Amino acid sequence: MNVLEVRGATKTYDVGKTLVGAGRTLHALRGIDLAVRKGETLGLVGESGCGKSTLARLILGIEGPTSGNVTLAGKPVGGYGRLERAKLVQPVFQDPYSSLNPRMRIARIVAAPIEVRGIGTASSRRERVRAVMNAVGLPEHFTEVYPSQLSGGQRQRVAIARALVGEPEILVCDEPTSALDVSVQSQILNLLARLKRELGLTLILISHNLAVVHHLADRVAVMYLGRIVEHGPTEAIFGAPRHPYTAALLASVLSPRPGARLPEMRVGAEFPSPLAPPPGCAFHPRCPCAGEGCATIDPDETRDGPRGYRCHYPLAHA
Amino acid sequence: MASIASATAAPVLALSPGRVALGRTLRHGGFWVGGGILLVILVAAILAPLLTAHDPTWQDLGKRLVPPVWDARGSWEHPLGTDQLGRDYLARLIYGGRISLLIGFATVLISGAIGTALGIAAGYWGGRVDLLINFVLTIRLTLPVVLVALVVVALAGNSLTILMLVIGLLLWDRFAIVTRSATQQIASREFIVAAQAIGSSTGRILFKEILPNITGPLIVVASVELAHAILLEAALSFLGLGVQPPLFTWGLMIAEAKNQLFFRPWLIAVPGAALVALIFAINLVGDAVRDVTAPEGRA
Repeated sequence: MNVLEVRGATKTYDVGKTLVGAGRTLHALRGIDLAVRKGETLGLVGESGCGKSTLARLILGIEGPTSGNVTLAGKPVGGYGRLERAKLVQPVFQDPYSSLNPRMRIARIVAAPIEVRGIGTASSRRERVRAVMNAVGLPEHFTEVYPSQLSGGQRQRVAIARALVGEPEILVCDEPTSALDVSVQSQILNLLARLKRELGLTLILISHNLAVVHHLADRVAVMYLGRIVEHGPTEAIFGAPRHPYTAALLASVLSPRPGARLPEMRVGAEFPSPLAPPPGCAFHPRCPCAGEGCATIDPDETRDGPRGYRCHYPLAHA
Repeated sequence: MASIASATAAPVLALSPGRVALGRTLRHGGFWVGGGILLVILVAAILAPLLTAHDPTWQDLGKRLVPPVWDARGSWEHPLGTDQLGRDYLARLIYGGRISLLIGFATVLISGAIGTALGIAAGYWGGRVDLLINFVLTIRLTLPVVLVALVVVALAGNSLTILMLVIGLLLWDRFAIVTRSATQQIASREFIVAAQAIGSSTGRILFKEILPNITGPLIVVASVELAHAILLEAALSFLGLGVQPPLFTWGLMIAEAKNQLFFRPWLIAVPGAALVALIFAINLVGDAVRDVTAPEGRA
C-alpha cells in the first residue's frame, strides 16, 4: 500500500512581483510523480536548487502544490486538519541549530507535538518524552537543559525525538546530517536506520550526499531542476545509472583513496536558473550525451521494470 | 575513577537564555547607575505619603516662594522651598513624579501592545498583510505628534485618560518597526516550520515560539518609548495641553514656574533636574539591556 503518493505535482513561485510589475515565475517543481510504500525508505538526491526541499514542504503540508496533488494514506494533504496531518508526517531538518527554539527547555520541545494534540496528561507526557529520549540515545537529565547547551549531534537527536514522539507514519528528513561533523553523521544515520527498523517508519531521506542515500535508502529518486529524472531500486541506480545526470552525480563522489585526483564531472556548464529552465530536456546544456532532439523535445518517462528515467539517449549497460 | 563517574553524571547546568541575559545585565555598570536612579524615583513615587508630611495641593499664601534649604533664607520645614501659591515644592516634586511615571508606563503599555501586535503580524505573514501594516505605519509617521495631540485635546478636552490614550495611540511606530524585523528573522528559522509541522495553532506560534525570542529588542524599545512618552507629556503639559490643575506633573511644574525663571530659578531647575535624571536613568537601563541582548550592535 502506498502511504504517500505524489501525482503531477508542480510548484511555482512569483518572484520580484511588485504592485506594478508582474515579476517572473520560478518553477520549483515541474511535474513530480512519486509513490512510497509503507515501511520503505526513499532517497531523494540532487544538487541544491533542484526542488528537493520544496517537495518536502509539500509532503509536510506546509505549502500546497500549484497543480497536481499529494496524497497521504489515500487522502490529499490539504484535506487533513493540521493535527491529523501532524499525526501522519513529521520533519527532521538540516540545521539543528535553527530547528530548536532557543527559549525552550528540551522537555518542552520534545513534548510539543503531543501537547498540541492534547494527548495524555502532563505527567504521562513527561513519561512519553523520557521514553523517546531514551530511544534516541539522549540521557534523561537533558530534559531540563536548553538547546544552546547541547552539541550539534545531540540537538539532531532532540529533533528526531520531537519528530517521533507523536508516533508518525512518515518521517521527512531534509539533509539530516549535512550540518553535522563527520564523526557524528554516522551515529545519526545508524540511529535513523535502527528507528526505522524498530518502529516500521516510512522514511523520505533528502540528501545531496550519495553515500548517505546508498547506506539507508531502498529506492532512490534523482531530481534535476524540479523534475525526477531517474528513479528505481537503490542498487540498480547506483550500479547501473541510465540517466547521464545520475552517472555524473555518481562520478562526482570523492574517492577516499589517497592520491586520487578530483573526479572528472564532464558537466561543464553551470546549474541553470529555475527562473528560465532550458527548453527540451532541462539537462541538455550540460549533458555529455546530448544529441538530436534533446534541445527541443522534453523526454517522457521510460519505464524499465521497477525503474524509470527521462532521457532520449540513456546510457547502456552490458 | 569514582570522581570521574560522578562528574559525568552530575546534572547539566540549566540556565535559561533569559536567566543568562539577566545575569549579564546585572554585571553591567550602566544598568546599576540607571537602575539605581530609577529605583529611587519609583520608590519615592510609591511611598510619597511617607516621605513628606506636606499636602502638595495645600496653599499657604503667607509662605509664598520660600527659597530652598541651601539658600540663606531657606529652612528645613520646606527643603525645596515653596511655589508661588505657597505649596511645599518637595511634596509637589514627589507627587508630580507619580503622574509622570503613571502616564509613561500606561502609554508604553498601550503603544507596546499595538505596535507589537502589528509588527509581529507584518513580520510573520508578510505579503499583503505586511504591505497593509506598512501603509498604516507610514500614515502614522506622517502625523506630527504634538499637532495631533493638540487637536484631540482641543476637541475632547484634556483629562488624564485622554492624554494617556492620545500618547499611547501615537507612539507605537518604533515598536512595530522593531518587532517586524525581529519577527522576520525568527520566522525564517526552521523551528517555526517545525512548529507548523507539529500542527501548532497560529496563536501558539506567535505567542510561544516567536514572542519569547524577541523580548530583548522589545525591552530596549520599551525603555526608549517610556522616556519618549514622559518627555512628550512634559512638553504637552508645558504647552498647557497636558494635565490640568489640580493634577500636576513635572512638566506642569516647569510651565507654572516659567515666569519666575530669572528671579527664582530653582522653581524650574528642581523639576527640570528630576526630569533629566529620570530620562537619563531610563536610557542607561535600556542601553544596558541592548548591550546584553544585541552585543553585535555595540559601538
